[in-house]
Amino acid sequence: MSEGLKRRDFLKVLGATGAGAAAAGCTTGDVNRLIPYAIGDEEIVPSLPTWYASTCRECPAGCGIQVETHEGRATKVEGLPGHPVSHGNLCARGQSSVQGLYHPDRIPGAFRVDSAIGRQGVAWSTAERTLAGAIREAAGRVVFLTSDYTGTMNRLADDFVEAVGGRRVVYEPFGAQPRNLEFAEADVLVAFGADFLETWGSPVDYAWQFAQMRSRRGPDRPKFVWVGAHRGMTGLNADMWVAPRPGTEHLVARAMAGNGNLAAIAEETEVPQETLVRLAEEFGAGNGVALGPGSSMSGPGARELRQAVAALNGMAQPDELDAPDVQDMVRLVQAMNAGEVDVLLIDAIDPINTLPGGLGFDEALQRVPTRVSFSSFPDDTTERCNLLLPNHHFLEQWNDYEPREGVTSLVQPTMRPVFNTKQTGDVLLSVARQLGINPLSDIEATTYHDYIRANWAEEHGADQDGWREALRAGGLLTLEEAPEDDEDEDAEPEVPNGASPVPGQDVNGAQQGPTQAAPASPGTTPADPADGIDPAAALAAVPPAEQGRTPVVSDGRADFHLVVYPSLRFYDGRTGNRPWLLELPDPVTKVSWDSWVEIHPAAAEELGVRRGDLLHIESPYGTLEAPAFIYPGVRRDVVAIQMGLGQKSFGRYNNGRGVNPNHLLSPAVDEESGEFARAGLTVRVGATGRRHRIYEAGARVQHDREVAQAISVAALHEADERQEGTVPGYEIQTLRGRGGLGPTPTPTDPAGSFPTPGGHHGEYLAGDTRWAMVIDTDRCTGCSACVTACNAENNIPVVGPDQVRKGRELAWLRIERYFGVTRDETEGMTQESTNDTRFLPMLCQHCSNAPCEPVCPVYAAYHTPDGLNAQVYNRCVGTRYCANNCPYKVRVFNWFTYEFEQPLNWQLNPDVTVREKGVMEKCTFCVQRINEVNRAASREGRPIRDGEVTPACVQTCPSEVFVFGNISDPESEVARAAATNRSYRVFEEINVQPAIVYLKRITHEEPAESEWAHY
Amino acid sequence: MATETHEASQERSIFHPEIGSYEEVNRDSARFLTKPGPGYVALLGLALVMAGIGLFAWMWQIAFGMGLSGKQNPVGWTVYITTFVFWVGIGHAGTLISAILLLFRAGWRQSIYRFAEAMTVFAVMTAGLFPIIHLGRPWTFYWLIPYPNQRELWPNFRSPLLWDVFAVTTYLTVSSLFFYAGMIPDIAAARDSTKVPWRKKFYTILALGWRGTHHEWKHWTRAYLFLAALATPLVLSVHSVVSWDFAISIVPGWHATIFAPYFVAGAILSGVAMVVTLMVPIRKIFGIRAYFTDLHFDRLGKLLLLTSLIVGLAYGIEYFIAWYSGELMERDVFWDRLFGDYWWAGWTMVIANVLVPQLLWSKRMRTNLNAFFVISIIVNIGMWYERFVIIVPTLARSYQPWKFVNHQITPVEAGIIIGSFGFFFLLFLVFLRYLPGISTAEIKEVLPPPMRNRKLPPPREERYAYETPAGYREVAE
Repeated sequence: MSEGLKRRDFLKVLGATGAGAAAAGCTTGDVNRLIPYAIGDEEIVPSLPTWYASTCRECPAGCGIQVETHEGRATKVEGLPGHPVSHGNLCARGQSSVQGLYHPDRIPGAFRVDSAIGRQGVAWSTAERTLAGAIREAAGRVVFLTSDYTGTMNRLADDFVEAVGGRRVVYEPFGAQPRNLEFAEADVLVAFGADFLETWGSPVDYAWQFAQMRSRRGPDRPKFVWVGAHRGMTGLNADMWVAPRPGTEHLVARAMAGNGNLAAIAEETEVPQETLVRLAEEFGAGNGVALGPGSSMSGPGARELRQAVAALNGMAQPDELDAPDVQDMVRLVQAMNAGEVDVLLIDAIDPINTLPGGLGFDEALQRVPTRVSFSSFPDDTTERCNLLLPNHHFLEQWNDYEPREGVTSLVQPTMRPVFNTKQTGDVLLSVARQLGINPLSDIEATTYHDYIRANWAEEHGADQDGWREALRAGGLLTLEEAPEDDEDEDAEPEVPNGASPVPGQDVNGAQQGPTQAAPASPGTTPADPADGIDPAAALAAVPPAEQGRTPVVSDGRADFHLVVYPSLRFYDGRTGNRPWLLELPDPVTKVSWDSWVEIHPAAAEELGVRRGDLLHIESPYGTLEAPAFIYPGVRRDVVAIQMGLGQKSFGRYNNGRGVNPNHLLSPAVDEESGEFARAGLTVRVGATGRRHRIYEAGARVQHDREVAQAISVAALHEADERQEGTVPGYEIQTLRGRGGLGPTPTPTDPAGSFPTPGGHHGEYLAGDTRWAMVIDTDRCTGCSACVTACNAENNIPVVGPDQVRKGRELAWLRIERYFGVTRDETEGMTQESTNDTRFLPMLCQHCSNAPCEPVCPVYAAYHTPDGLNAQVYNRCVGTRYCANNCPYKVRVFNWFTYEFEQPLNWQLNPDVTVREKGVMEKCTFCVQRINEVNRAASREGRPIRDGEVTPACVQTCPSEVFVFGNISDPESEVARAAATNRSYRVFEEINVQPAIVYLKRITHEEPAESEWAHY
Repeated sequence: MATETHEASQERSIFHPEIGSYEEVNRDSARFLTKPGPGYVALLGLALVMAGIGLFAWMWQIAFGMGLSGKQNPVGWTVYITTFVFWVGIGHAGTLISAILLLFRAGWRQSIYRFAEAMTVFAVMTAGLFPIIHLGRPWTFYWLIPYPNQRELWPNFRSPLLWDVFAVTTYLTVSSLFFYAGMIPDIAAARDSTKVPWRKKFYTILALGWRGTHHEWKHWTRAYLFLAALATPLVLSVHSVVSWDFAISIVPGWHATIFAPYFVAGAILSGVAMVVTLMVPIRKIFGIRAYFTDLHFDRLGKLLLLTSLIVGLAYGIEYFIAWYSGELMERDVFWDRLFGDYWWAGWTMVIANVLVPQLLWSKRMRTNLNAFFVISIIVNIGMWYERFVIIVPTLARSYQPWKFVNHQITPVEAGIIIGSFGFFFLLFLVFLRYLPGISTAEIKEVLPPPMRNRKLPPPREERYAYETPAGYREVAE
C-alpha cells in the first residue's frame, strides 16, 4: 500500500494494459494498441497480488476490508485483519462486492433521458453543465436525497446543498440500528427481532461477538433467546424461541424486567406465563443483554420496546441514535407531490423499492422535473430519472466512512474505474464550480481526492504521513492487533472466559453501548443453582405447543399478521442483482433465486396450501403473489416475507425474480425508532390455485444419518470433567504410519486390526504435512459467507435458476440445515424442531482413504503427498464415477460451460483454472493458497507456520468456525481443536478417514438422536 | 457329431423335421441375400431414422454439454449407463447359444446361433458407444486406453471403468472373431452363388479363399471350437466386470458381493429375451418356420424361465441381506427401490423379470409365438428397468441426506436411447441382407445326410414375405 497519486497513475496505465489484455484474451473486439509491460512497477510483481485496505460499503456497518488485486484488477475482498468492526472477517454481501464492481448491468457512463429520444449517452462535461443549469434555474427548489453519509462526503453534501439554497434529506432504510453494542460477555442474550447475525446493526462484528459469547465452556453456557413472531437465521441460532403476538414484544421485555402483571401480559402476548417467569429469572440471574428492536418490529409498540430494552440493559433511556429521521422522507414526498421540488438529486438506495409502497414515492417522483440519479445500477428509481450520473463503485472511490464513533475508515480506489463513471463528490465539486460556488466550504479543491485530503488535514490533522498511515491501516482506527499476527486461532473455543477484546472503546476511551450497566468482571459468576434455577434445564421448559393461533379461514382466505424482514443476502434489496447472492440458498429456507411467503404448516393446512402454491396477499396498500413456503419457524397467525427482490428493472440477473413486500407496507412512521412501521399490518392471505415451483435445496431432516450431531451442555461438561477435554482411545491427532488419521477403535475392531487407512493410496509419510480442518458446528450460524468467499476465490460459476432447480449448483461448499434427525419429514415441520436447528458446512472431506480416487480411470482424482485429495481438471474425462462414490456428495460437475459475462470475468482469480464443460470439480482446500505459502516458505527456507495458510472460507467466517492446518503436527491449532469431546467425523463408520473433524453443536436440552445413532 | 445329432441318421431331423434336403438349406440361405421387399426397406428406414435421432441427440449433447441429459450432481449415471449395461447384457445370450451350446453339442443351436451371435456382436458394438456417450468430455475417451503416449499418462488400473474398457473390447474382439470365423464357409458359398459383381468381390474378400477342402474343414472345425472355448468364459467374465462398476464402489445398494452372478444371470435372461424378440419376426417375415421351430422356442423358454428364477432369487437375496445387515443406508436404499419415489421402476422390474416369465412354465405359452413374443418384450423392458433401478434410485438416495434428489429423463437422453436401438437394428438388418444368416454348414450337421431314394417331406407352404408368391414358387420349383 502506498501513497495514492503515484499508484493511481500507475493504475491508469495498468488498467489500460489489463483491459487490452482482457479484450485480447476474450477475443471481443479489435485490440489496436497494447502497452507492453516492459517497465514494471516496483510494487507490483506480476502474478503476485497487491492488497489495498479499504472499507466495505455494502451496508452501514462499514467493515474494514482488504482488497486483493491482480495486475490492476480487484479480484477478491477480505476482512481487514484486526479491524475493530470486521475482525478480519466479512459477510456474504461484502464478499460479493466485487460482483457489484464488475456487474455487467452497471450504467456505463453519464446519460440524459428524454421522453422523445430515450436514453442518450452524454459527455460528463455536458451532463454536469445540464445539472448546473437545472440547479441554477431551480433557484433553491433543490433537494439532495442521500444515504447516510458520514465524514467528508457529509460535509460536502451539506455545504453544496447550502450553497445552492436547497435542502438535504437523508434516507437509509436501516440506518437507525446501533452498531456499537457489546455483548460478548453476556450470559443471557435476548434479541427482540434484532437479526444481528444477518443485517441488524453491524452483523459481522455481532456474529464475532456472538461466537465469543458462545465459546465459553462449562455448565454456565450463555443462552440466547429469540423474541419474535418469525424465526430467521438469527432466530434459529437461539436456544429458545418466544413468539409473542406481533406488536406485544415490549410486554415481554417489560415482564422480563419484572414490571407489569404477568398474567395479563401472558394473555396479551400469548406467551405462557411460566416462560415469562423463567425468562425473567434467567435474565436477572446473570449478565443479561437485550438487543432490539429489530427492523421487522418497527411499528406499534416499537417505542415501548426500545424503552423496555434500554431498561433491561440498565439504562434509563434508549441511546440517542445518530440516525436519519424518515419523517424527512415523508415531508419530501409531500413536497414533491406539491410540486415544490424542481431538482431531485438521488444518491440513496432505490427509494421506490425500499420505501413502503403506501408512501407513493414513485408517483411523487414523476412530478419532479429534473430527477438526477447517482446510482451505479439501473434500479427502478434510476429508471425514472432523466439525468444519470453513475457514481464509482466503492472499490473505485476515494471516501471515508464512520460506522460508529471511534472508527473512521477510509475507502480508497483499488483499481481504475471499470466504466466511464464519475465519483459523486467530483460531480458536486465540478457543478459547484460551474455555479460559481468556489471554493466550496473554504476548501480549495478541484477533485474530491484533494477535498478529502484537505478535510482530513482539517478534521483529523492528517498531514502527508498521517494520511499515508491512515490509508495503509484502512483509516483512523486502533487495530486489535498487528495485522501480521492475524491468524484464525484468535478465538478458539478454548479461549478463556471473556478474553475477547472490546472494540469501540479504544479511541476515545469512552465506553458505548447498553452493556455499561452489566457487571464489568469478565468472569461473571454463573447463576447459582441454589437460586432455584438449574441453568441447563431451565430453558428446557419451552412449551411444546405451537405458538400462535391458527387464523380462521373464511372464503378460502384468512387474516395474518405480516412480518417483513430484511435479507441476509440482499439486505434491503441493494445486493439483489448479484449472481452469487441470488444463487446462494437462503440460510433458513434454502431457496435461491426467488421469493417466498413463510407460513406455518398448520395455517397452510387450514388454507389448503402446499409448498409452491401461489398465495395472494392483500394489504390496504398493495397486493402481491408469492409462492408459499411451509415453515414451522413462524407463528401460526403470521406470514413472513423477506425483502430484497421484486424490483422491476434491476438488471439481467434480478429481472422478474421474486416480490417486494415493501409495497405492502403502510407509510406510517414510527416516531420513536424513526423507521417506517413495518410491523402491525394485517394482511389477507388466500391461495390463488396456481403454482410457482420453488426449489428448496436439501432435506429438512437427517433421515437417521446424523451427519450433524449435537451434545448437551450437561453431557459435554460431564465428559470434559472426566477426561479433561480429550477422548481416550480416540487419538485423532496422531497420524498413523503412512498417513491418514487413525481409525477409531471399536470393541470388535481394535486399532491396528485393519490396514492402515490411506496407506495404499496417499503415499505420504508420517510426520509429513497433512492438511486438515476442524469445523465447529456450534459456532456456525449458517450465514453462508464462506460459500460466497469460496465462489469468489475459486472462480465458481453461477449456474442460474433453471440449473439450480435441477440440483446442478456448483458451489464447492454448502451449508446444510437440518431441523430433525429422523427420517420423518414431518418432524421438521413442528415449531419445536426449529429449536434444534443444526447447520453443517459441507465441503470435500479430503479423505485419506478417499473413495473417489481409486475409481477414476485416468487419475484425475488423486492424492497429493500433503494429504490433499486433488482433482486435475485437465485430466478429467468426465465419467462422474468419483461423484457417485463420494459419500458426502461434495463433488460437482460442469454440466455446461458456464459463462462469466463481461466484465464479470475480470473478477476471475488468475491463480485458479476456469473449468470447462464435462469436468468434475470440488473443494481443493484452496490449494493455490497452500502453494503460495509453500513457495514463500521454501524461498525463505523454513517450514510453513501453523495458521499461515487460510483457505477462503476460513478467512471470511465471521464466527470463526473453521480451523485449518497441518494435523500431523500435534502442536498445531487444528490438531488441538480436533481433540475434544465434541469431535466427530461424518460417516466415520465407512472408514474413508476424512480430514475434516466436526465439533458437535452444544444444546441446552438433551439433543434428539436417531434410533440408529448408536448402532 | 453329438448325442442329439445321432438323430440325423433318421429319416428326418428331430430339430428341423420340415427340412428335407441340403439343397433346401442352400436355397433358403441364399434367399436372405436376394432383393428385399418393401417391408424390409420400411424397417431399414425406421432403423435409420431412429439412429439418426440418436446421432443428432448425441451431437447436440457434445456441443452443449452433458447438462442436456437429466443428470444432477449426486446422480452422475443414469440412463446411459443403464442402456450400456442393458446392451452388454443382451450379448450374453448370443455367446451362450453360439459358444457354450456348441461345446455342449446342443444340436438345436445350429439354426439360431448365427442370428444370436450377430445379435451379440451388434449389441456389444452398441453398448460400446455408451461409455463414450456418457463421458463429460467424450473427445478424450482414448485417455482410458493404455498405450505409451506423449502425455506421459497412464490409466488407473484400480478403476473398474478401466476394467470395463478391457472387458468390452475383449468381448467385442472375441465375439467378432467367432462370428466371422463361423461364417467363412457360408460366405464362400454365397461368393460362389452370387451373380452381382460387387457382392462377388465383397464375398471373395471375406471368404479368405475358402475352397471347402477337407484340410480347410479340419482346421476350421478346430479353430471354431477353440474360439468357442475362448468365448465361453466371457459369458461369465464380461458381465461380472460390468457388475464391478457398481460392486467396487462404496455406494449402499451397489456394494454387494452378489453382483457378479446376479448380473450374469440377468444378462442371460435379457439376452434370451432379445433372441426371442428377434427370432419371432424373422421367422414370420422370412418364412423360415422350418428353421426356427417350436422346439427352439420351447427350449429358449426354458432357458428364460431358469434365468428368471435365478434373477428372482438374486433379488430376494439382495433384500434379505439388506435387512440382515442392519445397515441403515443399505436398508433405506432397498426400501426406496420398491416403496420410494421410484416404486414404479422397482415394481416394473420385479413384475417383468420374475412374475411374468412364470407363465413360461406352460409349454403352450412357450410355443405360442405371439404370447412368447410379448413376454420377451416385457422381459426386455424389465431388464432395462432392473439396471435403471440399480443405478438411479441408488444414487438419488445415497449417504448424504442433503443430496436426496430425483432424476428426470430428458429428450436428449430419450433420443440417444432410441438411437441405440436404431443403431442395433440397422446393423442387424444390414447383416440379414448381406451376410448369411443361417449357418448352412452347421444345420446340415443335424439334417439326415442326402441319400438315394430318400423320401422328401412335402413342400412347405411358407412364403418369403417380401417376395411375390410367384417369385417364391419359382424358387421353390
